[in-house]
Amino acid sequence: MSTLISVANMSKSYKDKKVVNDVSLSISSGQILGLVGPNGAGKTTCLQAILGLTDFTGNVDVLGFNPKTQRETMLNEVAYIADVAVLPKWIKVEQALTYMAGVHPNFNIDKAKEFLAKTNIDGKSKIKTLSKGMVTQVHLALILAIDAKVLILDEPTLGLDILTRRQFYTHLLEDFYNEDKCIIITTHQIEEIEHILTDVAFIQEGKIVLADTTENVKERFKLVSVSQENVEQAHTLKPLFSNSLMGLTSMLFDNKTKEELQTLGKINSPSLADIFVGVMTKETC
Amino acid sequence: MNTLQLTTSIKKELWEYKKIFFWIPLIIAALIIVAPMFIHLINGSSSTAYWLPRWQQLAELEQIEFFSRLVYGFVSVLFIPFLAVATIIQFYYLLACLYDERKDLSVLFWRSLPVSDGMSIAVKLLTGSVIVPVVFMLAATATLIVFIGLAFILSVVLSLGYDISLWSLWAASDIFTNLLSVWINLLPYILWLFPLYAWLMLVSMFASKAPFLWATLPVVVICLIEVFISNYFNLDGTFISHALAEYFSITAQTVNGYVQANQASANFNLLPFSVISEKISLAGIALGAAFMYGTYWLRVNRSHS
Repeated sequence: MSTLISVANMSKSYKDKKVVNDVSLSISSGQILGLVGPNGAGKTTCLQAILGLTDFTGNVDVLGFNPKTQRETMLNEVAYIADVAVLPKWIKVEQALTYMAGVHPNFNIDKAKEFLAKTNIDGKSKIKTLSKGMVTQVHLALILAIDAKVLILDEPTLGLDILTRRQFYTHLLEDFYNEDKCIIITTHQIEEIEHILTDVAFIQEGKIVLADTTENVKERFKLVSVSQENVEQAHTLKPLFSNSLMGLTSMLFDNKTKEELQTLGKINSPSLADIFVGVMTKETC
Repeated sequence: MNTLQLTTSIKKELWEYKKIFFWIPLIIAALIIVAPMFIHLINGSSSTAYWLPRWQQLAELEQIEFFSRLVYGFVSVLFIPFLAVATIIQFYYLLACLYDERKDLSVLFWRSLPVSDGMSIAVKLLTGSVIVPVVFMLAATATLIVFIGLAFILSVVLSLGYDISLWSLWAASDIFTNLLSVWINLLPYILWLFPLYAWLMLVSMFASKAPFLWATLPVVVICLIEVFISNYFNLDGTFISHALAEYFSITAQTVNGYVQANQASANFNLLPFSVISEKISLAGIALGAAFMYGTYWLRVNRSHS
């Protein structure tokens, strides 16, 4: 596994507010990293800095390129979907293909046409006449036809129905991903992509509060269904998160052994969404 | 420079504004060709009896060299509506080109591709300042070619059917020289208005809403403040207002001066070229370059999400 992206001490401020605060990350080939955080946590700014779309302090290296000074060359091998809504409304599908073929040296127009041929999208249609799901398919066709090593997705399925969302991630794995590439995804619907993530990083108020492989994270955190009589005892172990529902209390613990917890109740493997909520709200618990 | 990227980026601008870049000049050309025929039909002046004496008079024109100036006048008048509309379209395009893509967030898509911001800005400037007037002037030229074709048919008919020969006028018309004289004005025209183009692009990049107001109000406010200060302190005059008026106005006095100076000259056709060229200033070009740098800087450093 070779390192494709390395971020060291990256910070970004808007006026006096630090929106990205000393972020350090390393992403290697074969990794699919989920960058997860609440609204305004700095996810998009992080991605934009990695892409050289916004100024920042610190060091970022993407495929050996400096995004600040070599953005155009870097984008030959980096594909990016900001949001499905950003495709220009006036453009026709076939014009978008022609444009991509003209400006992108690694764009394979035949591959894009092949992808679109499987859909019911007419090449002469303007983007504004297509449904949101169709626009996603067009965007995917454009991006998947790029021979890129790095794919960056910022809330790519925002506002799409569940069928289109599932279809999107299936295409991503089947038509883009392999062991030589890496993907970074930010999304709110973490439960839907949990199974495809190899790594996860939680970001809160511009800081990375947790970054590890999905496997390690799931081993580190444990969700316990605590019976009523053990609640008080469980609180002494300082759970990250506690939620009572219909007489049963669920508690999320960080770095506790099975032996310490098994007397409290049934131990479950938490989902990434559970861990995310626990980590983000731990101060209030 | 990547030529394919450049041509594709220009194509993209033409696709986006196809309606105004293609249809408007076509409509103007159609109106200019059809309107005179329609007017003559309505006025009843389309009969042979009405026109024959006039053609005869023209054929007997003694000062044949005067005909070249007449043709130049005709070509110039023909180009005026095209250029007037082209100027409005230019202002509209330059004010909208960067604002619109920020408004619909498509800037995020364009900037996710390996096209430099410098090239994107340069292509938009090239489209607004050069391609738009060129497209309209091509339409005007095509209209002129239609008129030349009609004139040729008329000459043949008059020559064969009525023994009126206009062929000597053809030789004296200097059509290509006259046409070239109009086209050559494009270069000083672009350089003259470059600061304005650059200002409009800067506003297009800067304004979060109402770019037209951002383009006009600050200038008006600055001029008003200057006038107020000038009046309040009893100063001699206003610098900014005066400089702006001086730069953008072409007074009848200036034109008359050139006309009198070049009356006898064979280069009478180059009069507009000389008048416009006189308006170009190094300070104006430098100010335009500063505005363009500002546009580029904002494009690179501003958050677009």
